[in-house]
Amino acid sequence: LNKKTTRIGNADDIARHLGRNHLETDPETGKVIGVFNTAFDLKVAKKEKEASVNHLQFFSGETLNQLKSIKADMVNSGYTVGPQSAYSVVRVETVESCGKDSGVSLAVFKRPLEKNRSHAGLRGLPLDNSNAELRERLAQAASRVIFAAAEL
Amino acid sequence: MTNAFVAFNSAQSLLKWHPGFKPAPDAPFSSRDYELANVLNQLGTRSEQRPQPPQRPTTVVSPGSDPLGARLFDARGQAKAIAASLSMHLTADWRTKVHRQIDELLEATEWDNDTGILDPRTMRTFLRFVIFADIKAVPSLGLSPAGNMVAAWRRDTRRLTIEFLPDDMCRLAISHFTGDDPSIFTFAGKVTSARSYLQRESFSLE
Repeated sequence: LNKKTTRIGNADDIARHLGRNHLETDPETGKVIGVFNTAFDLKVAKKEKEASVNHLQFFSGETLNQLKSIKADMVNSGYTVGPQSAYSVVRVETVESCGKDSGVSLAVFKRPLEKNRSHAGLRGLPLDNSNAELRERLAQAASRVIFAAAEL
Repeated sequence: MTNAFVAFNSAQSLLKWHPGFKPAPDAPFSSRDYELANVLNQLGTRSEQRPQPPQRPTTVVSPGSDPLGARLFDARGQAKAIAASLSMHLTADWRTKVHRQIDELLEATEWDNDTGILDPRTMRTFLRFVIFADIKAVPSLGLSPAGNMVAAWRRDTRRLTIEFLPDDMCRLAISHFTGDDPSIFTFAGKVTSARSYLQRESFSLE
């Protein structure tokens, strides 16, 4: 199979790296309490067609070790992983359900990069980020399991 | 070009004090110069009546230094200047908490080069909404990839998220973060209408 078209099964998990600007924090304590609904927005100016995520099961071991490997690859590839950023982990099935409930068909495909081997793409998102319900559902799903990047 | 500039200025100042002034036949400026000066004078008066945006200097990056850091520094300064211009409507505690979050959002060590830097027009929309809707609660702040200001407030089991756009426009969503109620309410339009929408949904931000 061509890696570029290999779909990731819905029993697997994906991790989305989120900068501080996508993280909802408690305004009093600064503690991360959720994810904003702009977290899966495509970059319209760059004509992005899919959201970058990472395939957790590409690496073996516990979730924490898988995330550590993903972070190491991302840092190696020159990507900025800020100390206040985080990784949100979501089951592919949940992502697909968010799409279905919002009238959109979503799927995750493997998109390995030379130095970011577990890289994957979430396809099917409206290119103009216009589906407000989908944005909110994805944010709800992404708010459930969040790991601080600094602790990985 | 230099001569013409001086001529218009001189003629303009003469007309300002003596609107009916007619040049002597041997005057250094022609009648046409005075006509043009009159037009410029009127244009100048009109533009002076218009409120002018404050001029903010931008940081000039020295060779070898970080241009992104300079852009973020400027964006922070611009956002705070907009907040300062409306400070009489905002409490000191509210401003302090919002400024702290802006500093965090525009921190260079956090920045992904692909992300849009805060659009000051959206910061203005955010503050106008806060003042217009008389909001006392401090929001959690974020930024969309396009550089739009995003704010969220939590009440009971609900979360309100508003993405602020230029020209007083916004997109908002209300959902339940506890997961037991899947209903989602969305609205897009002017921030002035958003206030009425929130009142209808009984989402208080006092």
